[in-house]
Amino acid sequence: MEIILVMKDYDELLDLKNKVESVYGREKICTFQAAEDAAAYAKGRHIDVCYTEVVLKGMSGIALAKELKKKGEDIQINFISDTQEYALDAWKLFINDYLLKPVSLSAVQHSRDCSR
Amino acid sequence: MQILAVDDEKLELNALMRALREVFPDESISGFQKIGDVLKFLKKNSEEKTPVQYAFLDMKLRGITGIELAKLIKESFPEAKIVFCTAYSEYAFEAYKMYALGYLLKPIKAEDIRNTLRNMDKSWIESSQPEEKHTKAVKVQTFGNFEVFVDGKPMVFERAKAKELFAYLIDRRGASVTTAEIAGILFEDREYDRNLKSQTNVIMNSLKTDLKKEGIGELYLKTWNHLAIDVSRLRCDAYDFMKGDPIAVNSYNGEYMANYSWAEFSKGVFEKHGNYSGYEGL
Repeated sequence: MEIILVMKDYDELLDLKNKVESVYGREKICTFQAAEDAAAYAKGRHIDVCYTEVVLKGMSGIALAKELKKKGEDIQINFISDTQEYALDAWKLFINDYLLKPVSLSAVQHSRDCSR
Repeated sequence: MQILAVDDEKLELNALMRALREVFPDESISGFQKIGDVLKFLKKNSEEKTPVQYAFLDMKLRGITGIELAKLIKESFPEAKIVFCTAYSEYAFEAYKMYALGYLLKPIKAEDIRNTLRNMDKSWIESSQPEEKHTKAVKVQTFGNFEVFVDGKPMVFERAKAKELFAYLIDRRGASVTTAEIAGILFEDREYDRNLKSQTNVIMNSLKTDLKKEGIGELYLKTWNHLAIDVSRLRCDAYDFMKGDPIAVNSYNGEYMANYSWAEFSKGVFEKHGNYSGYEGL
């Protein structure tokens, strides 16, 4: 399984990585602080799961989700945000789950449980 | 499959049910405005063990929120998939918390529902257009006992004589027969009077019903006094044998429609042309 994580803040990114490892076990996890880097990485690769913050410097998590979905593969995308305001956008894009910051372990577990 | 739709506004509920009927043309869809009726419905289906597969719920209902209702439904049917259909966007986050399948804004269109199922429902199989039906594979076995298989499963005949009739029509290789001929085969030695004609018709209709039940009613070709089977829509070992198919030829073991005495007369062609000689050591 290939998992990518995108978060603006480095400490938050590391913390997310630990939690994702706890929930998913030993899988390939790549971390990015910018959506553009994640998008470039994803080109030509099959990504299974993505956790991305919505508000980022430059390209947004929403734009990244659209890019990833365009590939037409089966991918579970989860949004991370400190507000609920993008939840409707998430539903429109058929996003798997929506996690509020600070991201808890149970929230990560929840997103794995409801995988579509 | 049970599908539930809930909206306290009558017009909204009707619109939702219309869209649902487009998406689920063959399923049972129950719509309710009052929560009391929903609860009765849940109880009844729980007792009868008919699970609610999908529930399409409005968010703002009288006396309860859509989220609370969804939780109630999941108590009775944990596997139920919830789709919220609402005019309000502010519950979008909460909907995620409770593992909803989708969140749609009104007015709900059938295509919105389909897209949600396509993208979010693991078990959703895209059904083809209603007109496109799966063509059943019909296989007729005549070597040994007469048997008919539809998609690999043995066909069930209500009456033994209807099965015998089918066998006779197969034996005739698609040629049409009259009711009198059928009576002669099925009721040998009996006088072909009005009574027997009537009984023969009963058998013929029984066969027609059996075929329809299997989804292969189009095999039954009846004109005013003639009946035939459309042999182009089936595979038959005897026909394959006649075409020279080596597997069919080798499968002949000396028995052709062994359960019917009148079939003896047709055996000759298999004995003459086949490899089976009936003699050992030659």
